Amino acid sequence: MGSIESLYDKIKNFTAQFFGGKGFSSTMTGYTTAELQASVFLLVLASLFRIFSVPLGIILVIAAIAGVIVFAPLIVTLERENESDLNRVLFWVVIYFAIIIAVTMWGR
Amino acid sequence: MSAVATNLWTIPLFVIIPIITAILLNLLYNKSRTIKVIAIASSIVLFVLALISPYGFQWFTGQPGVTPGGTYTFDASIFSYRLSLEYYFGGLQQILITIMSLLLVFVVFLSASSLRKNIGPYIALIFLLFMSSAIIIMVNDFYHLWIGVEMGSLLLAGVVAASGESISQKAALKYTFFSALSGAGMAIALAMILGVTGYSNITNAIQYIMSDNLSSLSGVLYIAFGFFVLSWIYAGGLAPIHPLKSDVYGSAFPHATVMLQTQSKLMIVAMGLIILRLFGTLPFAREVMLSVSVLTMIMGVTMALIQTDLRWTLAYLVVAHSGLVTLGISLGTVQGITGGLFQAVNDIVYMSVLLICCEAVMYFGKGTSIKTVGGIAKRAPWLALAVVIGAFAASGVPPFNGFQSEIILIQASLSSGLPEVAAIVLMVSVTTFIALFKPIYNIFLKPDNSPIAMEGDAGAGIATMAMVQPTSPVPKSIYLFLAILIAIIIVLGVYPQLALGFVQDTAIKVVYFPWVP
Amino acid sequence: MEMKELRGSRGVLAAVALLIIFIGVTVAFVQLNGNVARGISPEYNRLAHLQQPNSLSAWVYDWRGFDTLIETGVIYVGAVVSVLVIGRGLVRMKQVEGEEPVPQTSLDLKIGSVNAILKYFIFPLVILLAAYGILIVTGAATSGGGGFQCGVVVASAYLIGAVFFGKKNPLNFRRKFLIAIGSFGWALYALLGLPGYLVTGYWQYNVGTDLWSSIAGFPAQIPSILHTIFGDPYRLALVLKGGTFYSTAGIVPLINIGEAFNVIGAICLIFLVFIYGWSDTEEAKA
Repeated sequence: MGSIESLYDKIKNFTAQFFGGKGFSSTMTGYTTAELQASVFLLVLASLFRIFSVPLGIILVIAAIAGVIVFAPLIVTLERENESDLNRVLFWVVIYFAIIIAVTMWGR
Repeated sequence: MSAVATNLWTIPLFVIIPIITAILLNLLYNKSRTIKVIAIASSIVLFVLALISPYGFQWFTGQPGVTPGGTYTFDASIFSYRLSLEYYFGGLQQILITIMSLLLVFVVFLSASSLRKNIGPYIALIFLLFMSSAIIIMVNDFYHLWIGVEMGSLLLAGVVAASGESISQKAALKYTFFSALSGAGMAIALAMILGVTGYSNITNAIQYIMSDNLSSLSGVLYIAFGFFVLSWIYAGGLAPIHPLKSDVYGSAFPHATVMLQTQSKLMIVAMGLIILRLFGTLPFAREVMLSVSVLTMIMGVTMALIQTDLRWTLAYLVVAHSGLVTLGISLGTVQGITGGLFQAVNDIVYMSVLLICCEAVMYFGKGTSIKTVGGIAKRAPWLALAVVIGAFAASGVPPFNGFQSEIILIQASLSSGLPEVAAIVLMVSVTTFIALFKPIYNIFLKPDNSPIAMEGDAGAGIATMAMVQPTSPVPKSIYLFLAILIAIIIVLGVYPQLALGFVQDTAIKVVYFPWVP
Repeated sequence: MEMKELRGSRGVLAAVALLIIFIGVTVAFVQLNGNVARGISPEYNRLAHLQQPNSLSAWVYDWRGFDTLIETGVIYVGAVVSVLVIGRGLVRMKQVEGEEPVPQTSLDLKIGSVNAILKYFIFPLVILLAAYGILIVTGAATSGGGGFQCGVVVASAYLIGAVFFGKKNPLNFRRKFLIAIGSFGWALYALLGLPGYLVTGYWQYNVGTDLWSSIAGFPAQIPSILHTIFGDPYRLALVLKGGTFYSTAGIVPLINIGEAFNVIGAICLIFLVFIYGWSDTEEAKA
């Protein structure tokens, strides 16, 4: 008896983590679409690295596929990283800026 | 239409008229009627000026250029080092400033009629916002560009904070906080360029960089490029600063967002072109700009999908579509730049349609969240039509204008050998459609089943069932504005050459003669 | 605001990124050392004495005068925006019910605790500082300094007065007065470009000094009436090594005065509103 209930709870908890917080019907469509979009975007981005070298592109695409499967609800991470918290934005700005400088100065 | 006039009469007026108007409005403070008359008259004057202006330069304060031989000249076509501050007004400037001043007329009218309390300072700030954007798009001088950007971010903070709500004041504060970082960054970039070249005039600086061998100073140029890109990211709200920028767009009044997004498009166009002209030959410069654009598009459009409020959906879509503009510019080919500039023009227009519709939804008094408001199409069918046309244009459906520029962008990325980027542009258009239709369906098409509407129906009984549609609180002026903007959307969609003629010239100059403004 | 975002692996990542930025910027500065190009500035210096002894003023208010007009605007806008956040000119939408903005109350400034004897020392200091400010702006064409310095000095006099005397400040500016002189200052600066614009088409051409109308290609001759109005009051004889030069700063001293008014209005208004807050009803009574 108990096992079925706990299975139900497990499934419920698993599905609940897709919809962080604001769960109601019209949000759900948005989150699922965004999840699919985000994974496809990730794959396309990975394949873009072929302009530097084709093997790198292939490896990145495979890594991206693995990443999409392992870190399943991507959109939750994406939403968290897109918060307007100042420290978070500052962190990403510093990272971007360092990449820009590293690539332009020592990239050749 | 002499292209070498150095005392073009219209250029100073684009700056001085907004300044004087703003000073007057700030002094008038709470005399709404007078403020409305002055503001609308002045914005109409600006529109007419932009429409009829010939092309040319303005050398402020009348200081001549110094030729290498040591003589002075007042002819812009002669090679010279310019003592004065230089502005240029050409095709790109004309189309962007014309559209911006048309929007200024609408925004001033809307804010003067929909706001209560003391509107003087607020409308004054909107005029100065116009001024700072006009400066940034016309200027050919580093220092002045910096001042324009600084002033723009300060004005943005003022316009957003004016609603006095905690959410908008927080957004304004956060965004201004970053202006300290990127403003200082841009100042460092300018100091480095000035140190290397000695000229604050952009034309002179580019000529110096191209004629002199600066290979021993390449590190200085790279760092200057990095800081310049940082402030470009900030000004346009590109990734990774997009959460702050979309906060700003979402928490300002929608009519103010019309002006703010126009300002930000003008900034990314002007600064993007300057970066391309100055640093276009550096290795990886275009790749860096391209990566920023692609990430902005992806982040913006994905975040737009999960919003549940029309205002916030639009806020993220504005950010995502800024990415389309910068994508075209960062491709660096004539076709790409043309597409990017054309996309900027189109984007300003169709986003304004959507934002004005969003403002109209607010007049129904229930906000813009898909949870609280519904059934607007029944009460205001024309509004629903306008928002659907705006959504079609934004998602690149023919025969509307978004289609024309997006197809140029796709072709440009294909011919640059980047089919993945073309695919991303396509996906962004499609996702825009999905992201927009969720709130449009919920707000306009779904029947209003909120408790208040149900109560009203039940309480009034059968008598109200026969009643015709309840009156719409949307003023007729909004329909007029929407009609004008939709007419522009359709005209540009059917006959894109009309706008392309203005921007193609600039694209050719940026690629082949980067020193010419 | 918590700093937990920057702890753990993120913090390490951020530190590495900052290190990369640091190295990049240092490399750039090392490369720049000793390689700075002069550009157009020698030309400015060569021309400066034709106008006025204070060549900095000639740079800032004449050759790059329009640039400074917009910079001045930043100060003006700064005042408008700061005061707006406190409460002057907050707007609400007619159709939408929302939270009402919270009115800002005045700071708890107790001047009673100030030693009475100190006030006797501070009073002449305030007057002297204000007078010094006026001295700076009136001598702007011949000595170092100018409108901005005057504005800042007068504003500091005002702030000292506010701290020691409270509402009985010797410089008892009212809000409306400060807004009016700030606006007057910026408008004066902006409109001083008009005579040159109307005659030559160049905005803010210095009609009083009139350096360039003899050069070929200049579009117009400056009528002598403009020389009389904008040039003669500030005519100077400069005795230099190369001989005696007669010059005039033209509209630059007037621009300096406009700038001074703008800065006084803007900065004093920020002080005043930050100390006493803004209330529309109080303002209506006054």
